Amino acid sequence: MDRANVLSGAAFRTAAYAALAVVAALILTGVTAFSYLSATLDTTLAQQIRADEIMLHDIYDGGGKADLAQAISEINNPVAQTPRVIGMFNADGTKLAGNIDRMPPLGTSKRMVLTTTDHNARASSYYLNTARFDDVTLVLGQDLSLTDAAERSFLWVLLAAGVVLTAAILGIGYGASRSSLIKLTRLERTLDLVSNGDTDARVPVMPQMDQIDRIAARVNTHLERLSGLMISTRTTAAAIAHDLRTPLSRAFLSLQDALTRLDRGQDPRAAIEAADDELTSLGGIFDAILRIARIETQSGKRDFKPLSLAPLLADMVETFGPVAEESGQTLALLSSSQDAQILGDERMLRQMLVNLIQNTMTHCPVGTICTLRLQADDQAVTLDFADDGPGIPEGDRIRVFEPFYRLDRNRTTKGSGLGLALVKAIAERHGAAIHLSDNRPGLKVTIQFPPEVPVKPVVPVKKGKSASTRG
Amino acid sequence: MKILLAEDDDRVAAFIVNGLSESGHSVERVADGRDALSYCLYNSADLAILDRMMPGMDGLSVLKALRAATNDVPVIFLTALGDVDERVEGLCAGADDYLAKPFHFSELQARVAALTRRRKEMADTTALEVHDLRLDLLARTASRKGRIIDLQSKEFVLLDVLMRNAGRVVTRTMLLEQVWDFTFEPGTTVVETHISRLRGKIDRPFDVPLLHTVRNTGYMMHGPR
Repeated sequence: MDRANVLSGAAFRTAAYAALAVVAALILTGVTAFSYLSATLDTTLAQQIRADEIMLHDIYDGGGKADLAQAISEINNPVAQTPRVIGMFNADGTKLAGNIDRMPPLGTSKRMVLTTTDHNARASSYYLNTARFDDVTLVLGQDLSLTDAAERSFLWVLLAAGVVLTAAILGIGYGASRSSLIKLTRLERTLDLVSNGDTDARVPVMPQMDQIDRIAARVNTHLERLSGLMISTRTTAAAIAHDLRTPLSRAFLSLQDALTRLDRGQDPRAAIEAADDELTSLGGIFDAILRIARIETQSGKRDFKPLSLAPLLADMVETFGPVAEESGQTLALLSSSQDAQILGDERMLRQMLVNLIQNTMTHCPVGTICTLRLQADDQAVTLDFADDGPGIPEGDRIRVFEPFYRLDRNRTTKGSGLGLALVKAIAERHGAAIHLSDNRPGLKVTIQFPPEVPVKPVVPVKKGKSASTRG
Repeated sequence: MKILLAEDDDRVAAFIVNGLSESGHSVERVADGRDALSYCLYNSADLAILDRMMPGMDGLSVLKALRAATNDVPVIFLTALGDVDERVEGLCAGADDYLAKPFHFSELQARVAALTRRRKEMADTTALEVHDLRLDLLARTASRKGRIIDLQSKEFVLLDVLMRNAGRVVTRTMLLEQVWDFTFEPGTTVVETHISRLRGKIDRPFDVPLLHTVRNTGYMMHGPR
């Protein structure tokens, strides 16, 4: 796995920011705690020195220089537990007693590195204080090595804590980033597979269902739909090619026939007209395919208008009633609800009705009665289109809506096999549910449109009460 | 009749130019939308036939520019973009007719004929007459030789369209569009059936037939010649 990809992951970046914040917080608290600690230690040392000084001052007050020198050499026991600095100097800086040879320059910082005259003494850091008793200068100092050590270990602990915390946070971030990268890579690979034509590839979804898993689940749902579409596109394309070849070859034959007739000095007119018919029907198939595609890809109800279905149905029956009559069938409007309002496109709906009627008239025998019924309630506007013809076997009822699907396998009857596909596309475009059932005998097509809900005018809230309480 | 044809396909253009010239029109052909626009603006054509997809400027833009310049030359779109929406779009932009490719030449010819005379007659006609048949558009009644003929509403519209175009061929597709508002092929004998019913009412009881079938093309109303 590419490390750069892991490091650019959101989880790792968040962890890096968290680590930065932790380090900053550590530095801030460290500085505060450290200055507090060293101030406290210094105060303690200063207090000890002050106590010694008072004691020595008492001795000086009582016995003068000699007693003070005596006391100093007693205090300055070389085997004392904590090394300390003590020195007594004349006004001219000559040493009278103590364990340092020279008087440290006064007025300098209180911390100073000195070497005492004690046995085995090494240079060490001391906290110094200088006091003057008349012409005598007394220098007292406490060893700082202990407090320095304390301060140093405090810093070390702080540093160690910082390093450990940062490493832990970055580690967790790296881990999280890596695991999401693994999932994302799988997602990517699956999408690649699908786009390369593997319609069965799906993204693995982990049971913990984190954000990425939820997205993966959604992606799978979409892939499911997409694969369905891809497969149906493939089959449709094959069906189109197959169905277009039939009229095309018939047109070829007719044209060849026309040429032959011309050669023989016969009238080629009939053959040319036959070719023309075939090509016209070919054009019709193209139109229907384009129309279905157009309707299916359009979305929204931009151009839809509220319309009443009853006049449309009456129009259809007036138009096709006589046509049905001529072929020995009957088309009748049984009942028609005048308040069946829907939101729709009139031209599309007209084509839908024509296709349904045409479908019945081509596939039903002489004597068939075809009835239309329109009902409306709050839930739906329902259009029933029923006939007492041969019907459609239950297993085929869903498939007849597929483009080019025909009950007549030999494709001898007229029709492109697109009529019902177009009906379904138009119904779906209108948000209508289409359902085929057994009319005992015959076929019943039920189309349920969502009713057009007129926008109710907003009734203004009575303002009398609130206005009076306000006044 | 001076007709401008804007069509970028040479074979289709040659076919149309030949056909229209044979019917006695003088045809000027251009292959570019911009040429079509400038021709219409600087010459007085009686009719323009525009393709929609052309180099330079598409037909729809040409039409919009013409109408914006208050040029009201009749325009027929002749295009492969034959879908309902495209058709509506074209007509809304001010086209007078819309014919989708592929088409039969007779279809184009009938529409050209219908358009070139429509302008003059349209307007405020309240009654149409062909020989002794009279259609009262206000009372919505038909009568022949003084006898009232009872017509269904579709039959009335059908007769209206036919009589407005008296003396000219009205194709089956034109009838489907103008009478039934079908912009698709209904695949049944709608037109034939209704024409035959109409004949039964306006022609059969009388001695002179007025509604004639033009073979392979459509129908024509005319009195005895």
